[in-house]
Amino acid sequence: MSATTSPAIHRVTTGLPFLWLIVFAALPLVLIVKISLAQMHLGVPPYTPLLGLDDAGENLWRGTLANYRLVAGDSLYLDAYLNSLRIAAISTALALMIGFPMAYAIARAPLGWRTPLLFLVLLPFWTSFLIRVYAWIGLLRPTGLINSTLLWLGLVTEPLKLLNTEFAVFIGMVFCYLPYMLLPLYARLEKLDASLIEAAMDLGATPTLAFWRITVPLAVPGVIAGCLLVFVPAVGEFVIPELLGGADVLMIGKVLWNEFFTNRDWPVSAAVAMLVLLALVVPIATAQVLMARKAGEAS
Amino acid sequence: MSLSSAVIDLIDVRKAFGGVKAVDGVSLGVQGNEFLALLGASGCGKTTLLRLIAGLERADAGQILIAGQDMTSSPPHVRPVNLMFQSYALFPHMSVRDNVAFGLKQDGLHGAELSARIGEALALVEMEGLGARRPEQLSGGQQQRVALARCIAKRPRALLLDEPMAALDRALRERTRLELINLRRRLGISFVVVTHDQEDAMTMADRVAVMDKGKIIQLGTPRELYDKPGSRLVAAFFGESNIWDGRVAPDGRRVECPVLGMALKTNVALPHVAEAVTVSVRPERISLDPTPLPDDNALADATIEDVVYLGTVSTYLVRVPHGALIRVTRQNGSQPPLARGSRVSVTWPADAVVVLTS
Repeated sequence: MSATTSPAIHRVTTGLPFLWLIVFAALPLVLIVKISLAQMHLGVPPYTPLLGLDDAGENLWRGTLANYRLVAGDSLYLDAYLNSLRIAAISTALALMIGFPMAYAIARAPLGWRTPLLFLVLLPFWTSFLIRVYAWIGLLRPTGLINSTLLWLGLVTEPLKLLNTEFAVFIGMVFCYLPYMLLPLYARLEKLDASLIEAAMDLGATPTLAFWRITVPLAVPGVIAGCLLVFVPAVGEFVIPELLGGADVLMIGKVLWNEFFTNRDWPVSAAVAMLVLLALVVPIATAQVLMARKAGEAS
Repeated sequence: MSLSSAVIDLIDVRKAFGGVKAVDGVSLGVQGNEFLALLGASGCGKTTLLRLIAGLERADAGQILIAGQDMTSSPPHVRPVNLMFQSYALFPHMSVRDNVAFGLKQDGLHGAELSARIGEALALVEMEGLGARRPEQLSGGQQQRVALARCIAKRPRALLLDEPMAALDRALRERTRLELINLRRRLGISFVVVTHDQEDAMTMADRVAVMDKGKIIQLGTPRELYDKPGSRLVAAFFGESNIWDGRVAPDGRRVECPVLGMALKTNVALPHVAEAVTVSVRPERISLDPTPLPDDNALADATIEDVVYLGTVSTYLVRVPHGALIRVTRQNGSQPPLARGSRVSVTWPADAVVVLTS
């Protein structure tokens, strides 16, 4: 913070984002915690209050951990959660395998080409997320473009089952989340000093070895950022598995949706949401603390 | 130039970038045990030439021999030369030791031998104690030492240095020049240094190749280049010089200079009569003595317009009757100082006159 900034402006500029976080992140979170400790109740709101008065008029704590016990005890939730982790992990790995070469190629392209290429990567974002996912239904369904082309070419005799499979979910995930992987990788690779690669080759490394020993290690922060940006939303993703995965693909986002909208059990779905949040935040926060400590040691 | 004694031989090497000739037909032999400087203004092609030797650029035409072998199209990792980058290009994710080890591991070294070679290289640049540091924890001068160690650890046939002084302050520059000279003597290999600073080239190099527009315009020892510059550009690059345009006089042995109002006597062979030439006289070869010797060039009735005191010497700017302003340097102490406005006669011997071809 520069010394010339007046304290009042400083307070406003740093205060506004905090206010935003309190209103739109912290408060809703508190509400969800509160709902997760309540019980289902037919009415509006569809859950019981945490504090109530007993017969004697005394304040009574009526919160319960029953929802958490239910979620922990029923293997459906655990299975859905583990399956979500698996699908998100595979999707992230696929996005990395596709995104890294793309980011590398764009970062190494002539200067005038980089902006148009990045623009092409971002172009799908200009249309609605839902429309993009629906478009894949059109491509993947038995009478869709892919199957009719394969049939016409005579490569298959009957339509392949592409839609309502995990494969379709992976396609949707990678397609929708690729830019989140690509942009941090590009930002990192674009800054990479080309003379480092030249120095490695000058010191006797083949171009392949220089890539693995210099380019890849220096891109690690971009890899971590990209993987987090894909993995975290992918775990809780609802639309893609719902539209492309069908009934066979069980993911925690769908379970949450069902509890909330079909069963109208807000407390249980709030408990599921809290557990997913904890399961994601704790390992990521730990990793960040470890990385910050490592960076602190280096400097 | 004999092929056998040269560690690097360039034969009519050419390189263009999108139609711009960066290196335009350079032939050069770097001897096995010499300090050679490629000197020129930015954009003259000197760095491209260095990168061609290292293999980081491919020559469009010509041949590059290293240690007698044709390496014109060999990739950089097989060439027995190493390049110290202007930015040093230290690997930021590796310690000093690992930076030095990187190149040695490519040679298949490991274990005790690897450690010994790392230690030896770091000792040569006096960086033994800092092996565990990261590049970002080092000063600019220390980073340069690590970059040097990383190159010399490989025991290359020649070390290529791209503007090694560019990032150093003045005091460190002078020390580093001496250290590079000593290091080259101890290693007994060739150094090829690219620089835009004539002082770097003069103080360090055994031979200097002056480059302009992709060509070597003159190659010689620093003394040859200073005393016998072949062109206006070389004369101007190396120190101060008085440069005048003129024409070969009708007698074919002197040069008529209108701004001096006289025909200059010279000791060198001149082109045809009436041909335009440029002559150069170093300021320290000119004296302000009132009594010229018979063979000297002399101009009377000159006026001292300005005096610049520089410690060991003073520079006098002297106006001669026909209009030229002549720069003269004189030792202080041995000669009495002259005041501004004094009337003097200006003299210089015939052998101080250098005729420039371009």
